[in-house]
Amino acid sequence: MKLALSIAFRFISSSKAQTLLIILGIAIGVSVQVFIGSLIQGLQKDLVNTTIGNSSQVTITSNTSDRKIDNWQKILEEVESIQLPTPLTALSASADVPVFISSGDRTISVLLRGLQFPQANSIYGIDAKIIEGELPKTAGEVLVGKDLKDELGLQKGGQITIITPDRSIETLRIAGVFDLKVASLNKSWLISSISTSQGVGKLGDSVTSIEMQVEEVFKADEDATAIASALADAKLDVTNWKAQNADLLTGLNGQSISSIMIQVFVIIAVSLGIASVLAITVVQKSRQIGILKAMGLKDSVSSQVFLFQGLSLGIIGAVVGIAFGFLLILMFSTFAVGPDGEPVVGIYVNYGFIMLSAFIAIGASTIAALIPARRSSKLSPVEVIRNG
Amino acid sequence: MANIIELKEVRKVYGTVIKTEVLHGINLSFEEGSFNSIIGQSGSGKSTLMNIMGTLDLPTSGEITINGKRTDTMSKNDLAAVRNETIGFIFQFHYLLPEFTAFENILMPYKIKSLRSSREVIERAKELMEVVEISKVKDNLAPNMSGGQQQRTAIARALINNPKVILADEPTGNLDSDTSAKVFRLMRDLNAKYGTTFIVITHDRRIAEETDRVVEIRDGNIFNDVRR
Ligand SMILES: Nc1ncnc2c1ncn2[C@@H]1O[C@H](COP(=O)(O)OP(=O)(O)OP(=O)(O)O)[C@@H](O)[C@H]1O
Ligand SMILES: [Mg+2]
Repeated sequence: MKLALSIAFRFISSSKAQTLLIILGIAIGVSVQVFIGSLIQGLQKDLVNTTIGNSSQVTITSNTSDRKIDNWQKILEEVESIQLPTPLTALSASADVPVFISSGDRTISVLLRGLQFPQANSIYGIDAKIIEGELPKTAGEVLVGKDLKDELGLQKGGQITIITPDRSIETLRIAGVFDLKVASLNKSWLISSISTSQGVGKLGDSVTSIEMQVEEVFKADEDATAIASALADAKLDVTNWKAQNADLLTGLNGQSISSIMIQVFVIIAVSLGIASVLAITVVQKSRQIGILKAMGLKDSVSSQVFLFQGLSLGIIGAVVGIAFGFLLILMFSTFAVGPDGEPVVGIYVNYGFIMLSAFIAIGASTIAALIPARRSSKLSPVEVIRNG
Repeated sequence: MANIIELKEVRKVYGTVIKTEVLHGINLSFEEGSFNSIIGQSGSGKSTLMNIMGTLDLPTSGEITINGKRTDTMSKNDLAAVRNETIGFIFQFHYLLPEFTAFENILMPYKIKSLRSSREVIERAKELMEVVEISKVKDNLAPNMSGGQQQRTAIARALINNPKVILADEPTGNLDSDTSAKVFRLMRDLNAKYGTTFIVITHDRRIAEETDRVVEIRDGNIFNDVRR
């Protein structure tokens, strides 16, 4: 073992140009792997985050005709006590009422969202998205979206008149302005406390939905199933974002598959490179192997020499490759920035994934060394000695 | 004295389609501690014979006994151990490992045998380097030595494990006549000093005349066997 290792190291260090080339090959493979992988994972995280990061991922609604959930406090408690596949990171009730705003000769349809503060902030982050004013404190206060405010020429501290579903007219005070960075929401949402919207919608103490976010978003469906079976209430529906975003999921899947394809081909290319370079080394070193065998080196040890070469080249290549990969990531996040100075894609550095790439490269290098190792094991010393 | 190598009816046939028998039933043995030479025309089968004696090649038929053990029936790993511990090889080409220094080359057979290098083996290596006069170039890589130095390093390497027998196939074939004489004298001295058996193939009749026994091979048979 130790002898094979020391001969392997000597062979590696004595043909520097070749060693450098092969390490560079592995390193480039690993760095591409690390970079592309991190980029795609970052892209997916970004995409998922912008799509569902600020919305309900698991939602309980009522399927009765009036869409009301009466015993919501009890349901909240119950949901909280369920052992879920992935824990909840947010849980809050909301009472949503569709209302109209008439402005001049136009009537605009908007949704009055009565949210449970402060719990709803974990989902929507409203508190951080208020650009003027503050969260509604007393009944009869609302926040309006930035685009609605511009369109209707509203003022913080001013009044807004709405027409409720039963056609009565209510006047609400504007406590502030929010900007959710999504124009359609900025135009179509009014946000109030839960009691305000309950009053406007004549809901009594009912809500219209219970909203949740989960830790591992891709397990939202499992949570939804668990909650539905725990509640066991035929009047309640439990939906999850995956069921409502099939297109996004297909897209993400396609991306994952293409990323895996790229990585598989990179591994194959790197392995072939290593195998062919090591095969050449066996030919180059056959004289040495032959004489070592004449001196009594066992066949198994002579094949270990090449396995260790593959292994150590793999390790060095992987380490250099990871360094290159981080360099690429650094360059990408420094130079590929949008007008706001933020990187166009937030790269996600997943250490588990990087370690995996490294181990795959090392494994592939060692496996690639198997063929040359076999050749070395089969080499007969007398051939070398006879042919000079 | 006991025989270190014994061959019984050794035949060697080369080729699978066109078969050529190059050794026709050789019976030959060498005494421990003796200094022998093998001569014969080019193509007569000297190297073939020596490679079979050294277990580098297998006979087509016949028995080989080295140091009292039958080797023609041994496994490859056992043969490797026999070569490592009992036999030292010297060839026309030095076959040093170019990646290693002279000193490391000399130690290599010992490293193959046992992992740790003991103080004794280092001492022995130093002594051998003194004897073959390469102490000054001991840290040179193999290619950075003269032909004579390389061959003398190869001789020291062959001796490091204190083998019973040295098999030398034209050890001076690549050297000028002065250096040849020097290397040959060195081998004689080593034979006297350590009692190692030497079997040397040579083309040079004058060198052969100076050995204890001259075996002449002709067309795969022993033609002449002269002891003095
Ligand atoms: N691998 C082989 N396949 C077929 N024939 C071979 C092989 N090796 C040697 N021979 C033949 O066997 C015969 C003996 O060869 P060998 O090398 O033993 O001769 P030699 O006496 O050592 O010659 P030289 O003095 O030139 O070294 C030669 O005729 C040679 O052509
Ligand atoms: Mg020959």
